[in-house]
Amino acid sequence: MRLERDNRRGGSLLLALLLCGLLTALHARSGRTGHADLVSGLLRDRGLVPAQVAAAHLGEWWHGHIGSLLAGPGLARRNADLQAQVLVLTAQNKELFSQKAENLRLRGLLGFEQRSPRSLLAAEVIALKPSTLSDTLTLNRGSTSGVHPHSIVLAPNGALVGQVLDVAPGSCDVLLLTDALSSVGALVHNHTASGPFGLCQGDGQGRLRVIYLASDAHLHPGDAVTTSGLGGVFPKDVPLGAVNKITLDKARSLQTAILRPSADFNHLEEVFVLQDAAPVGG
Amino acid sequence: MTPVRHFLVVALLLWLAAVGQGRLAQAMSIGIAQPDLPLVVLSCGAVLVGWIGGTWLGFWAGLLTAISFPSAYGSLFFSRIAAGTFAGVIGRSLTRNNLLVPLLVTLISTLIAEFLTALTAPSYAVHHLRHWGLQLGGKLIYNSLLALPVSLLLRVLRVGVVEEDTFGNRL
Repeated sequence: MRLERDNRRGGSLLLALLLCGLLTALHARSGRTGHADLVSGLLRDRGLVPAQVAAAHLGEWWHGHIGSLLAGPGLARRNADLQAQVLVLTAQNKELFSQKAENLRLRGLLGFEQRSPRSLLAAEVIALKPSTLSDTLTLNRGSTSGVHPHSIVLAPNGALVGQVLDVAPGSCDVLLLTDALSSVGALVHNHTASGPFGLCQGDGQGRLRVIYLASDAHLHPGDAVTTSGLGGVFPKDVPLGAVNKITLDKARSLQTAILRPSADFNHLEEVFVLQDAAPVGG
Repeated sequence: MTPVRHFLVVALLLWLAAVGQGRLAQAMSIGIAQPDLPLVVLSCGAVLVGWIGGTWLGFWAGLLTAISFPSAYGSLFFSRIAAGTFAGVIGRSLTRNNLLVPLLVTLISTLIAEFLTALTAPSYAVHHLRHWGLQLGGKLIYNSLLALPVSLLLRVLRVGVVEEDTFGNRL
């Protein structure tokens, strides 16, 4: 009896480990193309994503109906602030429209081709940083919506959020810029003709830094930092953040700039996916 | 309830925990301490369902965790099977009615799962050793504290409560 029981236990553990190995191998094989394997994709799309979308909607409802009641006194003040902000933005918008019209007219005069803006796909964040092991988020859009591995993801304010890591038909995982494995070519706009180039990296602790900046580059707190467009993966001039602190490594004659990120990585609810970025390495 | 029903109840709770992990873990984090809800449910549930149930609950928890984090798929999968099996095995040797049991089992299961993950996917832990250590410490405390309400919930759901087995045929 005891032997039989031990055999059953050992057999169960062995079977579970074998299945684990098999699924991991399947996942690794599919991972080379950046697509989720069949089991993971199906389980995520049919099992987790619908529940996470429902949970997200429930959270929104709670925030809108119950949370707003609790936030009562602060709402009037926030409303007044937003109204003032709308006025300022409306004025800026009008100015930008006139500048855009002028830009189009001048481009026409100079014979430049029209640069068609990349189409954006709105996506909902259904899981944010589910593991402390890495900074990732899950979106409710997948390969059926045109998302592919290495698609670029932007915050509602246009700041870079990261790039798509893994795609299932109805969902995808995004590696955030703040992850320790993320890096992107960066350009610091320090009010000179051509600002210094560097490499923007996440540190896995929610911060961004630009490394490999020349020691003679004049950097100031508040300087805007955008993507450099070098390397061809990320488009140029996407905001990354603003310089917050500068450190100098005298031994290597290099500067490092600690950034204040443009995107609020801890409170992302909706994002945009750049649709027509060509897949890299896939 | 039959053992299969116990297993299914914990498996359902694991699925809810995996959904909650994506929606709530970030909001629940205190400093760098972030709970691992599926791991807490796994530890508390596996103690009550025994060795074989614990192994398969670990398999289910591993799959749910791994699909949310594809970069360390195999490591997370394997570590959860190990944690579930450990909790299932140790559950037989302990007095399940003691409230300290789920707390201690969760603490050790978390330690096992995190060390196995770090061992099989070492890139983050090696490069950010101090931060990883702090996160691990925070997670150990957070998970252990969450084990109390989770084990109470499992008790309310009567998971692990079995009819008296006079002839000792229970697995």
